[in-house]
Amino acid sequence: MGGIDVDENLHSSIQGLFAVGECSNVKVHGANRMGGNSLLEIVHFGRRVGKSISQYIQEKPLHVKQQESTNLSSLFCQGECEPFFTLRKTLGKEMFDKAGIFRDEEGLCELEKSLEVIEKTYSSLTISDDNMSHNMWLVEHLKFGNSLLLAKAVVKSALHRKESRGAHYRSDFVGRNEKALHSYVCLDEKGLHVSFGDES
Amino acid sequence: MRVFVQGVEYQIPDNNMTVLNALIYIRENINPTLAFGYNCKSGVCGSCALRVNNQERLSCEYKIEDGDKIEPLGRHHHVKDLLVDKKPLRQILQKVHTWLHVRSEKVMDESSIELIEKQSDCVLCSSCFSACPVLDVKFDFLGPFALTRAYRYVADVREEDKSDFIEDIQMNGIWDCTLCGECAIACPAGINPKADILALRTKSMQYGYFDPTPPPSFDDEFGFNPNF
Repeated sequence: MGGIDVDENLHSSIQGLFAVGECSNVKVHGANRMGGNSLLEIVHFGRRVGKSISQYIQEKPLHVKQQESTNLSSLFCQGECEPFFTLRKTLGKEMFDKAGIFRDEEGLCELEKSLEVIEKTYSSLTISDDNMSHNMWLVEHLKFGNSLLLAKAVVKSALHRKESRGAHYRSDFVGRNEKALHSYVCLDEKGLHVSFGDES
Repeated sequence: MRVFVQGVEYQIPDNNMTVLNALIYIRENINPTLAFGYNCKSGVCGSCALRVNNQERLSCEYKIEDGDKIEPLGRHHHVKDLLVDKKPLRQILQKVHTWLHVRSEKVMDESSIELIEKQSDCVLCSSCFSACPVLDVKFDFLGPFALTRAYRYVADVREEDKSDFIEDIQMNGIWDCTLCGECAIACPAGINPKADILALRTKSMQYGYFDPTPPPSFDDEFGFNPNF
């Protein structure tokens, strides 16, 4: 039911990165996960991923290089800094109202615009606590950036899927298309792209 | 209402909040640099353990009241605000080798599960460690949760070879407990480490060990001298 795309050995498209559990999409649930199956999934695939990882590192020795991808110094500023918490509440409400149980084109397009506004505000925020040890404000701030990215992916996928299937319900497209296609979201330098399984 | 976090006073709304909700309110509205731990917010993971009015509680369960004093766990290395370092405690568990050593093919029935059900509930929140007075004088005491976990494996009917567990807990272990019971009061899962330690003492004697503390006698003035 959505998640990081992995193969049957829980290996993602990034070499050496495995994903298991609710965050992963090992394609056992279809369009709507049945209650209780999440626990079964993690028990079974948790064991499987342990085995596949131990096999992987026997063939390829582990070598992790740590790189700093974000320049954090621009985030810090002394004095009054407004934290992102109100933005997080706004994001939650907007996503629940417009990308929740009932979705339609109008609501989703409005949501896309709100997300752009939220993102603009977010990129201008600063943090006054520049302590690099146990800085929860910084960690939550950065995680919120990830939430925004995921929100954009959710909205784009919802707009792209012009049908109702499983947990995805469009009040403007209540029927199901004939073919059941997976949708894939990719992030590259140009941004987020959504495509269906058969498309390139 | 007023609450005190490590001596600093904060005003929070009076609407039946838990300690964790109060801390989140403080972080979002008053002091964004406040550091505290939490994860499940449901009283299951144990990450949010701290002291309210000198008693260990889970901050996501305990309802805050006017004038409450919130402090980090005691007898831990203090890191920042309400965060403490819990890593050294995991290393203690390694000393007791808490995993099945020789696994038999026995199937566990209801009564066997009941023997170890409570002790298996331990989530390593370290509340018992914070409450244990032995740690003030003996830094390498194994501690309540390690001994409870040892008991959980000693009482497990699938374990064929219990002698290793018994051997590991003799030194700095069961015989150093004062039996004060503070750990049982502090445990949010309702586990009684004191009872487990007593059971382990009986078990150790069955394996031939005994209390190494010398019994009181005339030579050492029965352990205390009232005329000092």
